[in-house]
Amino acid sequence: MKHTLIILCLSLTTGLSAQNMSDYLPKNASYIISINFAELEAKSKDMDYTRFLEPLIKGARSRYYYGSTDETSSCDLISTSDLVRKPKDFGVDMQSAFYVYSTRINDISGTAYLFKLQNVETFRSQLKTTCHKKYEYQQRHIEQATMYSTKELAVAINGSVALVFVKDYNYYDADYSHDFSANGYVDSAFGAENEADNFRNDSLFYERLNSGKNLDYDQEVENVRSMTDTMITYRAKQRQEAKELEFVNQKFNGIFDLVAKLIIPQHDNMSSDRNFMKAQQGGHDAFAYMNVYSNFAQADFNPFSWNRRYSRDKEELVSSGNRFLTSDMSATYTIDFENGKAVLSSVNSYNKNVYERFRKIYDVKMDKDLFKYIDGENLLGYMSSSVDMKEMGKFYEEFYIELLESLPKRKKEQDIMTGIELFIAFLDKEMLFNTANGNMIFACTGFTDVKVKYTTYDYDDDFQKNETTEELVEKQPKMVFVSGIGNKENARKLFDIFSKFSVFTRLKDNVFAFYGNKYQPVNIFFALTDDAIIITNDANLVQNNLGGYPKNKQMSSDEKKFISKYNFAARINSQKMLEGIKDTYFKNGETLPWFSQMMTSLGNFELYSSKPEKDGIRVTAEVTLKDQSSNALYQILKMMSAADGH
Amino acid sequence: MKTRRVIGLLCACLCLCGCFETIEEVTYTDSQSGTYLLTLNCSKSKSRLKALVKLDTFMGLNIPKQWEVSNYFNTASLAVEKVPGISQVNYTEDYTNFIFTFTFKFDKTETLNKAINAAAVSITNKSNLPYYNVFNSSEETFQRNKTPNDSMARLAKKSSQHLKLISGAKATAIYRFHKPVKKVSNSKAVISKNGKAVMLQQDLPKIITDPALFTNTITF
Repeated sequence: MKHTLIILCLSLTTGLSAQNMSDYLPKNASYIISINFAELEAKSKDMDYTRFLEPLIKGARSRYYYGSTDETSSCDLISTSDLVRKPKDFGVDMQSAFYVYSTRINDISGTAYLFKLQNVETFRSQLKTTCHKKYEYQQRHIEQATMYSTKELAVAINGSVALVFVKDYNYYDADYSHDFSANGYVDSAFGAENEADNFRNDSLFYERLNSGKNLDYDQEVENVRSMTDTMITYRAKQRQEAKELEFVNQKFNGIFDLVAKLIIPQHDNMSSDRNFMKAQQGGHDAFAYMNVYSNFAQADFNPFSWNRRYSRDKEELVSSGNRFLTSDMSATYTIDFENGKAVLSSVNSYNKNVYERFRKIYDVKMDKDLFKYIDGENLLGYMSSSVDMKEMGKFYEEFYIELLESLPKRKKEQDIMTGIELFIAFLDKEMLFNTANGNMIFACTGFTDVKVKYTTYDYDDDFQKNETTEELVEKQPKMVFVSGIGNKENARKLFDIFSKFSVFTRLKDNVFAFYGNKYQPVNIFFALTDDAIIITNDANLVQNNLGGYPKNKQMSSDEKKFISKYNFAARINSQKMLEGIKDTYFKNGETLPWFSQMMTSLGNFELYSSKPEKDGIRVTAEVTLKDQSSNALYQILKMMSAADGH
Repeated sequence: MKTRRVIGLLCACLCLCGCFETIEEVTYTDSQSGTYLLTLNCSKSKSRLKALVKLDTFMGLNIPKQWEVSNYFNTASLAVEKVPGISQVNYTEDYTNFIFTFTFKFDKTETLNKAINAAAVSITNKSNLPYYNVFNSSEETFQRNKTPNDSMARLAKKSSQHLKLISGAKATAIYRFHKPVKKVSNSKAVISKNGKAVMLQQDLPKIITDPALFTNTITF
């Protein structure tokens, strides 16, 4: 009885832990996306939200490279597009998280979809297992799971957990590198056997012709022909088929091995990752987790891998083990749709060494002198950042050197690192990181008139067409970028050097301009004051307000407080922005229905960052909507649908 | 699909440009043959178009890429070239000023009609497009016929808002002959000083709602 209880407890524990889907997620996944279908479905009501899931649909893209026809795609083992768009039809448990992640085991990489099934039979019925050509599909059973695979796609079912794996395209994997049908079944044994058979027949023929008998020549040729070994071709074909099967099996073995590893709880899984679990337990509508270092180390992002990506050279790779700043890096992005508000949040996680550095980088407040350059009366939106540029420059110099040194590379490529270090040693860091001090505001302050030339035609008395150039006044958004100055001497030096370029016109000692051309019909002014570098297309600012706008025309104290409070801040006054667009671009105030819909629905946009915390820094973006009683997802989808003309 | 992309660009032009012009020129060098030139000038709206072509879709319509537009021209010119009696097919694309032209020489008006129909079929990829005589000519008259209600017009008609947005768009037709013109049927059409050319200018939204406004019968 005791034993039975222990076994029961153990199996219950195992059962429970097996149900934790994060146990199935490998820790080396370069990204993981989690979707809460139940929430999205409920919040979107009758609107179609699946358009946002488009980037997650793999398979179709891979097939494009294979150049397959529609006929073959209709015979896919499973349609990943339908799976993501209509999970309910596939028996997916909508209450449980649906994961998409990228992984690589040995030479095979691809995208995996991991989800819990509510109805295994419904899912099984969606698999197209019967319409594949010979050698294009295999099915295998292992202790824990049933697996189905084609060359590009595999499906595994382990109890109520299912996995769909879409293999990445690999040039050297392509079938045409092993085109059996083109070679036919002519191998060396076929040639030898054929030769021997011909020799035997010839000998027989020779013997009979020389036997002294009176023979019918044509009949003898027929007789000898009938003695030819017809099994030679059959045997060659069998050998070839066995070889082909071996090759195909080898290919399938790779995929099956990978899928078999992924369909069971992972030894090193995401349950032990604190940042991932935090996002997981946050109950978000959707979130994405990026393993930053893993992404860098992968071939696509590793700058050292470009020249060996397509090489068969298996030279041993080296990397430095020093991961002082680059260990435990990850980024999590979450999205939640609430009533009247959509909240996007990102958390960049780092280790404790980085935290100390980040504290210094972000231990600054916005330089209040910059506010005076922003036209508060016409302010439509802005973005600001305040960081210690010197500290940031120092940090990223060390960070990237450590990162590059730690990436796998050939021995001879280590010299590139030495070269980079040498190059950095020669850089004037004071010029690079302290000309602008890290305090910046980028703002849109209404619309300005710009003269634009265009081509048209006039006609003479006989209606012969002549090309003419005319001028029209167009509205362009007024933009201003203001940056605080660290080292004034260096700022002046750079300003003077830049102003010498022939494309610029010096207007004053501290102002030069780029006058637009037919390719860029926009005038840009560059100005240097005692406390700021200003880049703008607002002529009024550089001509009349370089000392700053009067206090009553500056940004409101609420905006100033908001900017001063956060190292990164952004705010868009959507209503004012849309009204500006309406007045500028729509004649007589008449707009399209979708634009009106936006005007009646959209509230403001806000973005702000947290101070660095011990394990990460958070940036939050919020889109508010005027209707606070209805869910933001539903309202956004409705706006988009109106924009599409539905 | 192909049709939708062409319509996509045109409608997007219509909606965002507001101001653009199309110029149709038929110049007869003798009683039979001549040159056809079609110009689409969106130069006045080039700033907005530059922004627009960077998008994939606008208002649910696919915006074709530059290479796709080139493809349309290429396809059309290849189709027109195949029509017997057509020569010197040429097109120009100016993506700085957004001016596009399409021109060819024809040996008789019937061939001109065939070429226009061939271009329409090739661009829209619709082999079952009904054949339509754009022009008719005889010793005594030259006719510009009513454009059938094509898909673009239907699409634009769907929303009166779209038509309001293109209130500045113009369509011009110029027909030059080797002999003097006696009279024109369209009250908006004007005869040139030398009497051998006719020009008709109309607002494009009006033509879309009433294609008959662009018809004209010229009597010699």
